[in-house]
Amino acid sequence: MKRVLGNKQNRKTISLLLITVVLAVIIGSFNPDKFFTAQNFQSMTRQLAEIGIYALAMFVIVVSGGLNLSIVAVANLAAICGGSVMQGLILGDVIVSPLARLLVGLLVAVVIGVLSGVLNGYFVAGLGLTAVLVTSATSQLFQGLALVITKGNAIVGAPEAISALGTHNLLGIPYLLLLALGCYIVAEFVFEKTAFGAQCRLLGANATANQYSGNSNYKTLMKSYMLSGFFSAIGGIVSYSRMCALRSDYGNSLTSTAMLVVLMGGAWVVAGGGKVMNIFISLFCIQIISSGLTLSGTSNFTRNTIWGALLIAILLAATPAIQQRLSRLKGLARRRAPNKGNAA
Amino acid sequence: MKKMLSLALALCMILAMVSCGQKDDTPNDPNAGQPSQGTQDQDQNKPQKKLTVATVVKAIGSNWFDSMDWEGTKWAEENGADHHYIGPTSMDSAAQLQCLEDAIALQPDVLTVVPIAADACDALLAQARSQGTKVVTHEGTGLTNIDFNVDAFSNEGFGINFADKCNELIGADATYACVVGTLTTPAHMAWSKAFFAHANANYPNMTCANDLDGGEIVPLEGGANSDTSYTMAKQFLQAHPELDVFYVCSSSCVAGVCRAIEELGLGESVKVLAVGTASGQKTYYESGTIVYGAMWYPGAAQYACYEVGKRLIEGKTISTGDDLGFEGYHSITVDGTNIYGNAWLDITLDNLAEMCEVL
Repeated sequence: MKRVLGNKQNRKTISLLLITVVLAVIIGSFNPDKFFTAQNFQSMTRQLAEIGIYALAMFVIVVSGGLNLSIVAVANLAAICGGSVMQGLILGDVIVSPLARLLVGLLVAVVIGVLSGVLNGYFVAGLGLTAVLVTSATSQLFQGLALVITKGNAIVGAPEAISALGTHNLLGIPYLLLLALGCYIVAEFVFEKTAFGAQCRLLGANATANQYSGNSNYKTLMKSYMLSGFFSAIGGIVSYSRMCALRSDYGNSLTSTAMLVVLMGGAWVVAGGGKVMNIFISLFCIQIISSGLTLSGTSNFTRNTIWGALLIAILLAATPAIQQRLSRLKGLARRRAPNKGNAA
Repeated sequence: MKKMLSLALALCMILAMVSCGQKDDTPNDPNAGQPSQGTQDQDQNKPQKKLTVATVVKAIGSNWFDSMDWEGTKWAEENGADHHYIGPTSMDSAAQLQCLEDAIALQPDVLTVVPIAADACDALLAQARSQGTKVVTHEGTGLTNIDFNVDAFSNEGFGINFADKCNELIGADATYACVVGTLTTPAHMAWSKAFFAHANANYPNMTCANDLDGGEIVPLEGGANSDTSYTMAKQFLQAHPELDVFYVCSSSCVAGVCRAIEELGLGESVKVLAVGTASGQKTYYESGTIVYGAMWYPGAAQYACYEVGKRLIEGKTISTGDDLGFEGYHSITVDGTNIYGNAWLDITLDNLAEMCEVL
């Protein structure tokens, strides 16, 4: 038990968990009749599954020291191409069976996601351009492509399996949450158990060191952008399943929410750090604030303000100067505590 | 060990939430399964049970939609209900969908939605109805999973009126372009299409500068705010110098389009037919860029939506000629799931001051 609490990373996970539980209790108490219901649990987890997968796509890049602003655009493009195949709008004459259409559509979406990752990766790793610039440019490119394909209209409708994914539950747990959980398990495995995960972290912490350790920065970056593209594509399918419609301009607000989650999970605070588990917990945290406040009748402006305040608090807490002061305070408190005990 | 512990904690939390919920879930299920019994129950419980009503708008923070909060609150006070006003801070369909999820989780008795992307809301509204919520939309013509859609007037008549005004104020040989908020806003699309169809049929010399898609008009997308519509209008004016008039369907785009026209020094030759608040566009009426405008009071529509929802819960039917108790909705027209009032307000330079008082 001591070992568990002693480990710095674990302490962070546990404090995040505590914050989440405390938040759930406090915010839930504003409107307990509505907050602590299966209805709300399902609604919240469906929302956080969507944000969560986008957050993963962001996290993969953030760990290696970059930033991916194109996740939502990639997701929309992938979903539009995949969805068009599923509905038989593209290749409808060749692939007739609905199951084949579904599978090919999924494959198309994933391939487009990965290919977009290759493009991003080539610019960032191959040409050495800044990740933020590259991804915001490719974001425009992908959104433009999607706009051309859809002509600005929404493509309405979805196969049964997709709409079921977005709305149905398995034993009271939404399928979307299970899907997100699956993605997080994959990410946990990649970043905790594989050499690639370790290389990503090392690259994020110190790119030169990674290079001199005999790892190729190019390969590592390329792979991480491809993985990010993969998760973006899954995010696109999730968004599709929730809306049962395909739009080129869907979800512009999701990028910033995804960044918020990743930041809360701690990926930015420690370069090359950040645990998948922490991100998963901070998802709940953010969603509880969001849904809880809405249920208690507070406006979304308040929610944004609280999110902002939370972010600043986390950033401050992670600043070395503040951390030093905090630890000094702790030291003082520790030194004083025994004295007081004696006096009493 | 360490991972086990944190996983176990996380699982505990999730299970706790689920188990908390299951209790509430069981009594709700029979209601959802047998709607007829459900309404009976509600009728019996009516004296004790306080109604919960919720409205999800496109974006909060503007007078246009906030008026739905004012009148919604008024309705709630009159009927002893609990009113929730929910919406994203910027007009984004993903953000609105999340708001809608939260609103449905409130399990309201009546839910009003002003959809940004109608098709996207439809799937969620099916869930709302399956839990027994009465769904009454505003500006949501064409949605399928709703009880009723309340609009201030017939969309077709509104578009036709603008085409007539275009003929009257600009000329029978005008070159026009329609601007909508987004191509997925059903009301905007309906007005543009009615404008286009009426102009084609009755004013053969009018020219449409919009793209056409197989004989159907594809209006310009002005986007969610005046900045995007400003850029759009400026680009469009450069590409189409022959343009005489913009028909702007989205209140949030009018200011941007007018600013683009005036900055390019085209205030004399290019005019605007506007939909939206008088007070927000006052300067452009005064400068003469907007020659004619029309609007409705969204608050009134909100009041009517809640009233429709309440009557449905009480098991009453809604039919043509009913009085929903608000100016403009004293004698409604029912057409399928669409309800129209007579709540149309003309704005010209002459009655500008009066209309600014309204909104």
